[in-house]
Amino acid sequence: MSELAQGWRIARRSVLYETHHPGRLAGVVTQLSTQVFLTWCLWTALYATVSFNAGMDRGQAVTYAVLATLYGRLRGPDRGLARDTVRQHVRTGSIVYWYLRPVDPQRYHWVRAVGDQLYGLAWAAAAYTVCRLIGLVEGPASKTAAGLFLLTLVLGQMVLYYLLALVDVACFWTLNNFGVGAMINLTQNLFAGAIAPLWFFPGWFQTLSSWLPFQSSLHVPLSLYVGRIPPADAGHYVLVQVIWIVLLALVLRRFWRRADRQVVVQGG
Amino acid sequence: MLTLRFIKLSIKAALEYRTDFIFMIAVGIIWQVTVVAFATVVITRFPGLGGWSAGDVLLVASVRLAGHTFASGFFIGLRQVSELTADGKIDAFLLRPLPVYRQVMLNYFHMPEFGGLAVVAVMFAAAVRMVDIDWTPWRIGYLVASVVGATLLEVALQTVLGAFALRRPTVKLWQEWTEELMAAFGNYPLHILPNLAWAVFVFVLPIAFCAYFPVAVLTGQTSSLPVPAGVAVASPLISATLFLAALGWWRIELRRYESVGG
Repeated sequence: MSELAQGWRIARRSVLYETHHPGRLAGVVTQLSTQVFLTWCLWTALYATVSFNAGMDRGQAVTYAVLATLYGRLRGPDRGLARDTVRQHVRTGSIVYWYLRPVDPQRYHWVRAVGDQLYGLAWAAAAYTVCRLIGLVEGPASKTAAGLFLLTLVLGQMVLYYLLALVDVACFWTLNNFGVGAMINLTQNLFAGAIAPLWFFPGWFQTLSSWLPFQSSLHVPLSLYVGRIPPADAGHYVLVQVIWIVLLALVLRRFWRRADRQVVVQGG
Repeated sequence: MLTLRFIKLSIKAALEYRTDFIFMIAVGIIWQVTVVAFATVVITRFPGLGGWSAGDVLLVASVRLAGHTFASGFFIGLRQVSELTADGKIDAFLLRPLPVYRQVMLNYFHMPEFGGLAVVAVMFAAAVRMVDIDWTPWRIGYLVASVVGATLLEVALQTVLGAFALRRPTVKLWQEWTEELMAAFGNYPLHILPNLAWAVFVFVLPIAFCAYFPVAVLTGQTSSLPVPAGVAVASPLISATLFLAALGWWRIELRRYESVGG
């Protein structure tokens, strides 16, 4: 089997699980549409009495908030129900199979994540198209902004992958990473601007956020999309994203090597 | 006595993964901070929401967050029914001399959530300073009842979904979604939403009874509500009634429970 065919078989696993459960698909549609609609209502209501705030007009703020909701889908399906998270494999001992397959565990983890994210991207893209058609969100500020948005979105997702992969690998030591994972998710939501655009927070908070990797994943691409960050300033943000990717990739690689020696097979 | 032993054991089990336990304490605090962060944005950046002052909005968020803290602290086991069923643990619960519902609750005593109470206390202190309310004993009593009501309402919703999860594991997704929805929209005056969403939050997923209606009563803004003032005043009572009804639904679903182990 070629490497590509092998990668495809691995990447589509989560998608197959999802698509074999029509109830889950219907659930995603309901949940996503409700969340988008309510977010739109909330931000429209907030801007009812002001026309410009934190450097953003109503259209920019509402677009940012709605796209941030769609962004939540990018991580793909929740593997917890299929009992297919690293934490669950470590706890049940089935992590041993990762080391018996003819695929390196690190590569397997990466290919699965790519498949999950492509699936999530398909959902987000479909929802984005609907939102554009019915006028819930505005288009990108310019063609350059659109191009930079796509570039920083991909780089941002890579930063996020490495962060979440580190949480998964930490499980080899802690045996249970529920707390670490939940903390990273919440911190990510807070410092990436998923809860509210970072432009609305105080200066010190924005400075703190700029020193952390989280804003690379959401705040930067969305701010470029709505035109809050001018394309001329994009170079700095892209550079920061690349630095984070290199740093986190090196750390992850080191962790995987140590994890291979550390792995504990429970219950066997 | 048996209940206390369960609590001790579940804390002991959680402490077995010491690093994770410490992280869970941090999670409890950060979760509350994320809610506070958005409330702060609303208060500091906008002159109010839907005609309500920043203090009124903060009081809504405080009541809901306090209710959520107690609900998560004591009843988080309801969100683990899918796993408990898949692992066959419900079978074991049925054999023990304690109600299954109580065992589900005690299976995981979410101690770290109580770290968030400090954040709730700060929010209440700020809200009380900002709102223009004469805190008579009746109003203080009603505020306490509102927090109890907010707790019971969240528990009622999770109990109904948890009962479904006894037979349908994918319901867990809906449990998480309901919690997210309550966290995102339970903290604000819901009349900012269109009528359809409004109606859903009153009659289908009754988040409005959680904090919005009680705070409307406390701040004297019941005239703008889509329900009679009497209904808004009775919010804590309605939440308690919904909780009892949810327990009834749990018992019905438990009778239909079938072991996955065969």
